[in-house]
Amino acid sequence: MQIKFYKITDDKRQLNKTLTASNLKKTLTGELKIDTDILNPILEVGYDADILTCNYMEIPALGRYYFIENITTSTQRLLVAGHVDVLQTYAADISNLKCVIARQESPTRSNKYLNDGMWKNLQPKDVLTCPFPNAFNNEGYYVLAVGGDS
Amino acid sequence: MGFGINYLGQDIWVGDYFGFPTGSCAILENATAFSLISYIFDHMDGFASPTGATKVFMDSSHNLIFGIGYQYTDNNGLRTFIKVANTNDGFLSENETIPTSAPWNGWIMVSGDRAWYNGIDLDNITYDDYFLNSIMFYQNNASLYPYWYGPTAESIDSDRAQGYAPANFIICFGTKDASGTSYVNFEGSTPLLTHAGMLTNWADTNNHTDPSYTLSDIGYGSQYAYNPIHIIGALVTNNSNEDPSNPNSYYGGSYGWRGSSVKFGGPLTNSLIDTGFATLFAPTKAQVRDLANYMWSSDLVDNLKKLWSDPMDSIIAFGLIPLNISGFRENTTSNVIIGNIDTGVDMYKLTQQFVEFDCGAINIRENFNNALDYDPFTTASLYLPYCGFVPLKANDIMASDVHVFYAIDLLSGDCVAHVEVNKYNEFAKIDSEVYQYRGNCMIQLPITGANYANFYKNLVMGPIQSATQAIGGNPVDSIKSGVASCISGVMDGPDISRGGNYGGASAALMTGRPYIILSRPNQQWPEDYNKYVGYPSFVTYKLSDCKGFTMVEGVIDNTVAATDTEKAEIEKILKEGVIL
Repeated sequence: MQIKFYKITDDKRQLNKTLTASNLKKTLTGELKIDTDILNPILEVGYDADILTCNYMEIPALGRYYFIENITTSTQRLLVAGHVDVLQTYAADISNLKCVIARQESPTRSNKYLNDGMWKNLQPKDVLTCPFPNAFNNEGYYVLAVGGDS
Repeated sequence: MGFGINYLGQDIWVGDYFGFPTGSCAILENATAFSLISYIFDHMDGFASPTGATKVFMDSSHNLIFGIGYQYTDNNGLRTFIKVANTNDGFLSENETIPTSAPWNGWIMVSGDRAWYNGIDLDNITYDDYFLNSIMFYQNNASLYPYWYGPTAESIDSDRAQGYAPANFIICFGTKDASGTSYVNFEGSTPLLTHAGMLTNWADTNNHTDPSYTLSDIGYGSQYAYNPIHIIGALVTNNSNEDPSNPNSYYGGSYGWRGSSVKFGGPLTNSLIDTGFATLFAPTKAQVRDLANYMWSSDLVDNLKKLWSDPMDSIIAFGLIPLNISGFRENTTSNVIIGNIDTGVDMYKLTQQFVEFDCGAINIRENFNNALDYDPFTTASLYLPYCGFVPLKANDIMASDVHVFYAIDLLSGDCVAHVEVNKYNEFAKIDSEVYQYRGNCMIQLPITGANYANFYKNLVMGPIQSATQAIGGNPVDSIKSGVASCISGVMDGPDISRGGNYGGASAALMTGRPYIILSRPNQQWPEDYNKYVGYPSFVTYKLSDCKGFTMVEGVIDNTVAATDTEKAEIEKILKEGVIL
């Protein structure tokens, strides 16, 4: 089966990886090892030094994308161990998911009045006084109460 | 007498009166039951229109009954007469006339807000009272021609000649047949009724095709007048305690997402000043000195007068208050009478015992425009003069106008600081008093008084000089030192009382302006915090609507076409945070 080997710099958490002709390093033909897990496949390919620095692969026959976790050398052969990248593999479906968002980069998609729980505040606090416009009189006025009706 | 009807679980308050404007028609439509629309009208003008309101009565079967009516105005004002029809005929004869005097038998007479039937004051009846012969209308198979039931042109003229305004309305909400048990449907034999209506604007014509006789929008064609309705539903209690509109109602209202404003309604309007037992003065400094000079004058005659009357005891209170009370005093001075003695000293009388002082309002704005502006991150306290420092909830005052004012008792100096909050935003809508604190703002000024009544009574025959010295000098020291020992009959010396409460002196030492103290956090905010940690959201979005770092709380419906293991991993990664 055909295997495309990439060298990517995207964050693993990125939904859509950057897969272009420039970071496609090699397309080789290989075989799955017997009894291999298609989510964690081990592939055997002919030795090719160009793929030794790759970290990502696509196996069209399996319809999936994989992170390369390990490459083991063998006589004239390379064993490539991978783990499925579910984000890239199912990017379109994932984009259509409706979710309750816990945190979001954009302030327009967030609720800033929720208690973040992750804020860090300095110990010294800012203190300010806010006076009201009208004060009691500082001169004092006498009040005399006498019995009877004057 | 108010009452209501419970229709489909909803209380509909009919109230006491109905009235209808000119040209209108109250149409109540329901195919199988009735819906009652309550109209409450004030007086309506116009000769051809009902003026005022007509009481609605209910018989033992809970039929609302009206009748054709007449109105006229005499020396007693506007009177409305409603004919209470008999069981069998129920119709007014063409030449029916109104009784000219009480008890107006056979008629319900409404005058002002009172009504009588056969001389009985209908305000004193309950809805359980039964109106004998109180069937108003019923119809036979024939159409109901209004003019059969009302005044004819001739009778109208006759009525007018007598000073009566002709009947100009028919209102019917219920009817019975001759057996008194079923309800006649204008449309046919079905006992249910579809419409209730009222004709207004009777034309003085016998032409029953006149549109003014028809109920508009019903399209009865040749069938005119009204259709009585059958009231279905339990009568709600007439207990005024359950009337939400009753100001004395026990029921205070239901508060869900909105509350109701509560504010200080002002201090008591009655006070000691009104009783005559005491008078409050607002003396100037010079006037106080004048009084003090008088009180300690050495005029023997004056002293004797004072002694007999014990004028010192007449001074109830004397103090300083940090409030300009010039606006609460009379324009001219009055003589100060103490112990029934005119001191000859003039002072301004105060016109009220309870006053208010408005410290004004300030707006507390957000600083962070996020949760940091609120509890527990931002804290607040309020300094209230003469009350001290009191805690506030930042949640209460943030993004609000805060208003402080005092209600003060000028007699005791007791004060209550009222704190109102006004805010209207997406989170809260309040315009109400939320805090209240008590204090005292008067500095009590001590007045040394002596109870000389018994003392000087016995001194008439004794050494007056000594007594004079005692009063002329320092009264306290003199009395203490020796007067008592040399005056027979006064072994214990005169009683000395000191007026005033020294504790109130702290009022003189307090800041007189209220202020709020806000304590806000200083946030440590790393660069690109939002790109790595994000802002809290807790809103439902489609992931395609989001950009950048996104952490999911939960997936609404995981419809990804993947294996279960992959689905679980997708959700796990989404909850850890992805970059879209």
